[in-house]
Amino acid sequence: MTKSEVMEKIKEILNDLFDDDFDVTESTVADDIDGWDSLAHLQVISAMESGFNIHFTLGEINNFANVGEMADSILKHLG
Amino acid sequence: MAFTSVSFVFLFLPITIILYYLLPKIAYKNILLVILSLLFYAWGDKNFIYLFIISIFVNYCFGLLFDKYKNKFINKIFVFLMIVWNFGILYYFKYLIFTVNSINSIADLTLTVPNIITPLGISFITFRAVSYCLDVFFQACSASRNPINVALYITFFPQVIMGPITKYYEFEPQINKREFSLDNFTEGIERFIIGLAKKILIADNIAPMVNTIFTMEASERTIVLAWIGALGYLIQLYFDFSGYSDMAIGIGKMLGFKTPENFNYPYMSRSAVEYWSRWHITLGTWVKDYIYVPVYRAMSNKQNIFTHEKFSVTASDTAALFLVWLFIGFWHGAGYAFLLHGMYWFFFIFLERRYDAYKKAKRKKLKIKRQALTRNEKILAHIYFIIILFFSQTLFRIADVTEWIDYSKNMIGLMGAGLLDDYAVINLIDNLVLIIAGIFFSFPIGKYIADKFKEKNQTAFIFSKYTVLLILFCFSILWVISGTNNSFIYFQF
Amino acid sequence: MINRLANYTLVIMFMSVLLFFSISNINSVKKTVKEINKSIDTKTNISLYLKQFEQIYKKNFYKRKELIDIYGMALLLQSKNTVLNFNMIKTNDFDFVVLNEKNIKLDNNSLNKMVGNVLSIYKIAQKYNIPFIYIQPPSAYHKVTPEVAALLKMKQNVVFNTIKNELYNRNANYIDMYEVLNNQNISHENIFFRTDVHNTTFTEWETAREIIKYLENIGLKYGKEEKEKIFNTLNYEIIKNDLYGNTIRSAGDYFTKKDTFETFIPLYETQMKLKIENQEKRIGTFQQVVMNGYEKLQKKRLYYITNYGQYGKSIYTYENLSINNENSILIICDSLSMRTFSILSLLNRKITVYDPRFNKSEYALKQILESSKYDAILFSAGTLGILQAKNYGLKDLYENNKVINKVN
Repeated sequence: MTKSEVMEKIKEILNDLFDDDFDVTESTVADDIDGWDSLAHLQVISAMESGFNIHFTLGEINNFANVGEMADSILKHLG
Repeated sequence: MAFTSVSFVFLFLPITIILYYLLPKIAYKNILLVILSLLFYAWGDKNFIYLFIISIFVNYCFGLLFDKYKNKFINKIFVFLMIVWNFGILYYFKYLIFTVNSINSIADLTLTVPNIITPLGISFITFRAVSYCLDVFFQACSASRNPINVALYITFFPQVIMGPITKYYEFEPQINKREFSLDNFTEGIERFIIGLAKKILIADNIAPMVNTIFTMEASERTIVLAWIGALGYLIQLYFDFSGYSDMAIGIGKMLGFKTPENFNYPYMSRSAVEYWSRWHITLGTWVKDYIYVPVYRAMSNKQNIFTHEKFSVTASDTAALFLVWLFIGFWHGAGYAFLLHGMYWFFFIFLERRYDAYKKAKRKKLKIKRQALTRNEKILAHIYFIIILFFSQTLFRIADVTEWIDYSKNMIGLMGAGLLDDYAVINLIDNLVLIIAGIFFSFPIGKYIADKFKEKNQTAFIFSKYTVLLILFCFSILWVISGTNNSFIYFQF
Repeated sequence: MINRLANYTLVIMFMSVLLFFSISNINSVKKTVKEINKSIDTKTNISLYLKQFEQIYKKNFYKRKELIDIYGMALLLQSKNTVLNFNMIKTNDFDFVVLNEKNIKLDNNSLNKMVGNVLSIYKIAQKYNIPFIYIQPPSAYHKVTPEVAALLKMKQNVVFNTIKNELYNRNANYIDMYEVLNNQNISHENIFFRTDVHNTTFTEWETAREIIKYLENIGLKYGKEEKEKIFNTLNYEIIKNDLYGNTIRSAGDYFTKKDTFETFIPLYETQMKLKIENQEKRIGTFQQVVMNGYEKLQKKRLYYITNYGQYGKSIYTYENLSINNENSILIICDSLSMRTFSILSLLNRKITVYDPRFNKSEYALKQILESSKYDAILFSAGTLGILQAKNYGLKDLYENNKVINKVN
C-alpha cells in the first residue's frame, strides 16, 4: 500500500467510527475531531488494527502525534 | 527549594543560568543540571536524597534489562519488579501509616509504625521513574546507556517537585539536542514571570481568607460565606498550581527545554470529561498512557468467562476508568477523602459517558449527524460543571469526609447558619479585587484582548507586554522578599 | 527587527534585576552563612542549615527595609481593612490593631482541655500548699468593641471568661489587668501596641505592680525601700524607640503609625543569673542577662522585639543575686508576660518561667516543683496558644482532664 492509500482508508474508518463526514490530512490531530477523546482513540486504534489487520504496541498507541504518524506506523506494520 | 523563595530566585536561578550558558557542550550542561537538580532537591529534603540517588540507579538498570530482554517473557517479571520497587517506595513513605491506622481501626489492633515523613515530590518522582521504565519496556524508546541521562530526566529540577509530568518519550529527544534561541529565552522569562505573579500575587494573597473560612466553626458559616470560601479555594488552587507549572515551563524554556502544558483554562469546561483534559493535563496523560490504555487493551482482548464473548467497549472502558480513578484518588492523598474524591469524578465521568452513548445511539437511530451544542445547552452544561466542581474541590481542601459533609451542608443551607452575615460581607469586600482578578484570569479573556491588540499594532503590543511583565516581576519580588511564604499546595504530594 | 530588540530588552532587564539582587546580596550570603555557623553544629545538621538559610538570608537581604516599606505601601494602596490573616484590623481608636487569634473552632472538648489546664495547675498548687494567682493580661478581644469581636467571631473571650468564672467559683486569686487599667481610665493607646500583639511597657509595669500587691497580701515580704526603688521611673534610663511589631515587621515604615517602645535600664546596680533548662547561660547586670534584644539598642533604625526572655525552651530561671529576700516565684506564661516577670525578677530572689508550649517531658512540672521551693505559682495566659499546649507535663501530679463538668 502507498501512503495515500493508507490515508484514504484511515479517512474511511474514522468517518465511519465518528458517524460524520470530515476530511483527514496527515496533520490532523485528535483535538480536530469532535468526540475523539481517549476512549474514542482506543476505538480508533482497534478499528485501524482490524481494518489493516495489524497490531500496535503500547509504546506506539500512546505516542502518535497526528494522523500522519499513525499512517507511517501502519505502513511499517504492513510492509 | 521553593520557586518563590529568595534562595531560589536570587541565588539558585541566576547561578544556574550563568553556569549553564557558560558551558560549551550539551553533555556538560546535562551534568551541570543533574548536580544542580540534586542540590535543589536536597535543599528541600536532605533525608530522602540518598535513597533517591539509589533509586535512579536502580531504574537505570531496569531500563538496560528491558532493552536486553526485549519481547522475552522474563521482561514481564522485570517490569513487575520495577513496579514493586518504585511503587513500594511510594507506598512506604506515603501510605504505610494510613494502612496501619486503617487496619488498627478495623481490626481493633494497636500496631505502631515509625514516624515516616513523606519526601518532597515523591509522587511526581515515582511517575517519572516509572515513565522511563515503561517507555523503554513498551519499546517507545530505547534505554539510555548513560546514567546521567536517566538522572537528568528523573531529577530535572524545574519539574521534579510538582510537575508538569513529562513522559520520558517527550523528554528524551531533548537530552542531546536542544534549541537555544533568544525567542525561547524570552518566552521562558515571560512564562516564569506570569507563573510567579500568579502564585505570589493572587494565590498567596487569597490564601488567608480561604484558610479562615475553611477552619472556622461550621455552625457559624453562612451560605454565602461557604460559597465564597469555595470560590476562593478554586482560585487559590488554580493559580498556585498553574503558577508553579508556568514557572516550571518557563525555566525549562530558558534552558532550552520544551515542557508539556499542564492547564488549559480548566474552569471553562462544560463536563467532567472536559475538565480532566484541561486540569493537570500531564497527570491525565500519564494515567491514560500507563494505566487506562493497557487495562482497556487487556480487557477488550480478553473474554468474559460467563458469556464467552469479548468484553464490550463499555465494560472495558468502565473497568479501566474505575481503576484509573481509584489510582488518581489515592495518588492525591492517603485518605478516604481522597479516595472519595477519585470516585466522585469517576461517577460523573461514567454518567457523562452513558449520556453520550445514549445520544449517539439516538442519533444513529434517527440517522442524524452529531451537532454542536446550542447556546443554552452550553450554559446549562457549564453550570452543571461548576456546581460539581465546587463540591469536589471543597472535599479536596478539607480532606475529611464528615467535615466535608458539614461544609456541603453549609453550602446548601442545611446547617442553620443563615444566608448572609457581616462576616461574609467583610470577607467578600476585603478580597473583592482578588476574586474578580482570579475569575477574570481563569478565562482567556486577557489572551483575547492581547491578541486583538497585537493585530492592531505589534510594536506597541510587544513593548506594553514587556513593560507589564517587568512591573509584575518587580511587584512579585517585593512579595517574595517581604511576605511570609505560603508553600505550594501540591508540595505535600 | 523590532521583535529582536524588544526580546533583547526583556532579557537584559530580567537578568539585570536578577543579577542586581544576587550580586548586591553577596554580603548577605556571607553574613547568613556566618550566622548559621555560629548557631548550629553544621556537621550534623545540614538540613537545619539549609532551612535556616532561607530565613536568615531573607532577613539579611540587601535594602530589605526599603523594599518592605514599598511592599507596605502597596498593601496600603489596596486599602484593605484586614490584613495578614485577619491579624490586623482597622478600628476607630487605632488605624490598625493586631489581634492574637483568628476565628477558631471551639467545641466543648477543646474548651474543657484549655480551661482544664489552668484548673489543674490551680489544684496542684493547692495540693503543694503554694499560693496561686491567675493573671489575665489585656488581650486581643479587649482591643476591639464587643460588636467587632462578635463580627470577627473571636473566641478568646469565651475561654478567658470561662477560666474567670471557674476560678471565681473556687475563690482563687484572679487579676483582671484590663479591668484594673480600665478602672483607672487608661486609654487603649497606653495599654496596647497598634502594631504588635504584646502590650505596652506601661501595661507590663502596672501588671508587675498589681502582682506584687497580691504577693504581699499572700504573705511575701518585700523591703519598702527596695519596692520604692524599683517602681520609681527616675531610677531608670528610659530609651524610646520606634517599635516594629511582630506582625507588622513585614509591612514597613509607611503602613501604619508606629508604636513607641520604651526600654527601662536600671541605673542602680543589679546582679542577675540566667539558667536555661538548668544550664547556666549568663551572669551579669539586668541588661546583660534579662534583656534579650539588648545588643540591638546599639543600632538605630532596626526592628525591635519586645520579648525579654523566651528562648524557645520550656524552663528557665532568673536569679537576682543582689536582692534582699528569698522569694521564689514559679510563673507559667506566654510572651505577653515576658517583661512583667523580668520586672518581677528585679524584686524577687528567683523567678522560674515554665512555658509548656516547648515542653517535651511528661514529668516536667513534678521536676520543677521538686527542684526548688516556691512561694507562689502564677499563671498568665495572654493568648490561647499556651492553653492549647499539648503537654503540660503533669504526670504524677494530677489528672488534668474533665475538671469542669459543664460548660455553656
